[in-house]
Amino acid sequence: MVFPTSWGGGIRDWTPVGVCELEILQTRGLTKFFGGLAAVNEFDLNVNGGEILGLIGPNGAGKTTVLSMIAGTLMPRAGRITLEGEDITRWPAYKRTRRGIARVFQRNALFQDMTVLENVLAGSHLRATHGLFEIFYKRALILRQAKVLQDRAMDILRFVGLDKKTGQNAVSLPHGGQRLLCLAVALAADPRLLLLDEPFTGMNVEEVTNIISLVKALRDERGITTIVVEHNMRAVLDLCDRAVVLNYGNKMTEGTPQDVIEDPAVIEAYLGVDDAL
Amino acid sequence: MSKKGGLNAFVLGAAAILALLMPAILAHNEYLISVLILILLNILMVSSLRTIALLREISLGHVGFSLIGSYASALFMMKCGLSFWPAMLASGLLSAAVALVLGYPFLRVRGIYFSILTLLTAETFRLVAFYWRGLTGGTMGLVGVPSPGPIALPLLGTVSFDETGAYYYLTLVVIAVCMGALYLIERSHLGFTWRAIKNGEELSQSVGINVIGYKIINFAIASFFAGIAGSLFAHYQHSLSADFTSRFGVVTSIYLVVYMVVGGQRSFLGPAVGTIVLTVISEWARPMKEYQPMIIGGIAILVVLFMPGGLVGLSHVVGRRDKRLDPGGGM
Amino acid sequence: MNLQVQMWLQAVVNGVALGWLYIVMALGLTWILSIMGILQLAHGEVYMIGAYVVYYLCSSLGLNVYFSILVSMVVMAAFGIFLERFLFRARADRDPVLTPIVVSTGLSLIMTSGAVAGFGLYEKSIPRLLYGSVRLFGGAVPKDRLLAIAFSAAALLLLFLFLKRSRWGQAIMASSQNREGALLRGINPNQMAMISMAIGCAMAALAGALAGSILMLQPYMGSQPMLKGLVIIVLGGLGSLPGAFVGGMLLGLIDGTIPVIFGPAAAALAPLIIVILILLIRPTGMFGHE
Repeated sequence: MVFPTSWGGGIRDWTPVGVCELEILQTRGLTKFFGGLAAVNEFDLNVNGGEILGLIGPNGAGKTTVLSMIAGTLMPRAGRITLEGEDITRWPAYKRTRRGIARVFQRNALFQDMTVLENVLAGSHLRATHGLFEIFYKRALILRQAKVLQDRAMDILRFVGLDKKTGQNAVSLPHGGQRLLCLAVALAADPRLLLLDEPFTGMNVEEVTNIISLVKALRDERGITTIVVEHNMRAVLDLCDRAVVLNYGNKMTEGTPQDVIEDPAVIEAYLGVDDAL
Repeated sequence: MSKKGGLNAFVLGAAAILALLMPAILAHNEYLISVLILILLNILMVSSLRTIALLREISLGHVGFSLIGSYASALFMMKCGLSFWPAMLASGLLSAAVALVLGYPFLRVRGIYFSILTLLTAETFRLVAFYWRGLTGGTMGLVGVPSPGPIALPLLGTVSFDETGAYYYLTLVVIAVCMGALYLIERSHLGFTWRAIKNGEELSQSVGINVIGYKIINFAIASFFAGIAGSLFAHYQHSLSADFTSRFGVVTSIYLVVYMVVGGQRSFLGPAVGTIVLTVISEWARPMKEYQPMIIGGIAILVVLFMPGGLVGLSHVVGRRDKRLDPGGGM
Repeated sequence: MNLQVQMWLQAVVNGVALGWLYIVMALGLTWILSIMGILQLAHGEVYMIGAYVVYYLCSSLGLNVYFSILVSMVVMAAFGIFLERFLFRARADRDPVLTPIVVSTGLSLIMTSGAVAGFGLYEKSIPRLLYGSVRLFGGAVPKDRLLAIAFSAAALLLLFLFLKRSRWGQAIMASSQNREGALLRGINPNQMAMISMAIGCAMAALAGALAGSILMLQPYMGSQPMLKGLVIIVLGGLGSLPGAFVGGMLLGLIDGTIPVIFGPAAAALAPLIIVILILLIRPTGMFGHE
């Protein structure tokens, strides 16, 4: 399962991510109100380059809200988000993607009415670079670029295991397949920080193990940092290097998944809201 | 796939030959040729309307940009001394520029607001043209719009565009080029990005697509072609008026949407089919005077309720019976 | 009182009366739009046919004008139910935004050409509601204008009470805010849609009839109020009835003052510019939600 590391053909390349940076993302005092209720309150987070961080907590703790604010689909009421030193708090979502953040949504967000391959190609948007007028005269160049993009898309699909289904309509895939496709689309945007919102919902044990190994491979071979919001504790134990616990919008504690899960306060928080462990 | 491509090429070739021979076929009947010219202009209008519809937005005020194109082109030739081709291009660009400016507030809001806003905008443009005596002749209209200057062609000598036949060929060439451009744009990465936006707007943002930017560009491109059509209209009619029943009124916008839906907006040539079929029916129904809009309205309702794919959709339904055996679908 | 001021007064009163009628139109339109999600482009034609029904009843059947207005409202309400049931009801294979637009534009074509075919292009008139005038602000104000304002205000008040107090009204509000929630409570959305359409059309018919008694009738009389109604909706915000009211007042003000100061071209441009400005600041309109 080797993740492709280079592709030429006149398409923009990221500067290769070699050594993990010390801290890739930082939030300070992140706050979000819905109506009068504080969904997220003064949330501080440090994410180290190359780690897989789990964001856990009972239902309604504000985990997805935090993720949405990092991704840029929600704007915080207060606080700051820094990506590799750059303040991205007010940036629109698409601009953050250009800086290397990609998100997999909680529900299966796919491009309807498009095939598996087209979905990944759409995700590769940032890599296709030619202007409007060039379509009229640089046809050879464009065809070459299209080929390179297609090859790259196939590589990504091979990585997630969907390369046999390229012509299928995206929504005709079973749930697990759709999840994998969502991941492939996010990867097509060539992220350095991957945001996974409850990736394991509705998955059986085999599918969960598969995704865990994929995300770990992304970390090991490509140095991709991942933030995972998840309820499934076994998966978190298996996947994450570090975990942060949220409760009622506040950070409760953080540490290794093992420590955090055995923390009595955390257990109480979960039992109190009657969540599955 | 290549079999279908071969069929398409054949059909296009046949259509092209037919189009070239139309004036002769119609025995140089001036009225009928003028109808053809209007059909051609409407084909461009409806096709560019469909471009906007590719993003699932319905513009009810497409004629507004055509109005800008018409008046601008006329005034560029009359007041600024430009010759036809620069005037036409400039008026197209002006329409696109206006669309760029309006695009940002219009496309940020919910879809149905966009439709309402475009409707209001076209009406506003029309009223401004109607009342601004200084610029557009006001209620009297703008008269004396010149034809394109004569050009010297190798075999035909000097061709003057004062006569309908010659103007028909001019229009045919310009429209063909514009349609070709629209087709290429739709098949390009730009068109693909539009498809992605249509099929998943939030996801598009997430993969780095500046959605509002692409929507504005789409709107500007469509308006450019509306402007071109307007320019061709102006130099053919030689006079422009902006009253309620004119080409720039609400009713025309409505007809354009009807043409698009009846023809079928999922296919590139749907607008052309719809325009041709409905214009032919209108002309045929002309002796029925006041009942004519009724027939068009009735057809529109029936098609949109019972044939969602439009007329072009019918052929797909027929063809689909073979496709059901192939699960892949293909690109 | 000198003639100039008298004319001014007439103009103002006419303007105010028309303004109220536009509000009634706009309310019907925003009502249909927010509850059914349908842009009913033929709403202006419902207004127009409402007026023509009154004309027919008065001139051909010799009925009393007040009674005719009532009948017209009922007839157009029934027509609205027919429209909802057969033309506008959503189905899975129909595009929910485009289909109603095309259906209503087709309907608009049919209705206007029907009016032309049935009644001709020349202007007709309906008997005035009241003759004579009243001394107001030192000048003579025609009574029927005042009555039109009164009827419009009464209609709005009734509508407001219906929404806030009656069971049906609250069900409709619930249906428009949250379709699924309403379904769970046993409210039938199709029924709600039919009632909404009926009310919307009845209001349009009322506005049309009142307008017809003040002005003349002609087959295209519906398009101007329709456009005004659209401006009002966008100004006031989608789904907001108080917004439509405020929007209507604002538009009346604009329509009244701008032409006098800046001329008719500016008068046409002003509403659009204001609409754009408002939408830039608040993409959902002044009071709109969702």
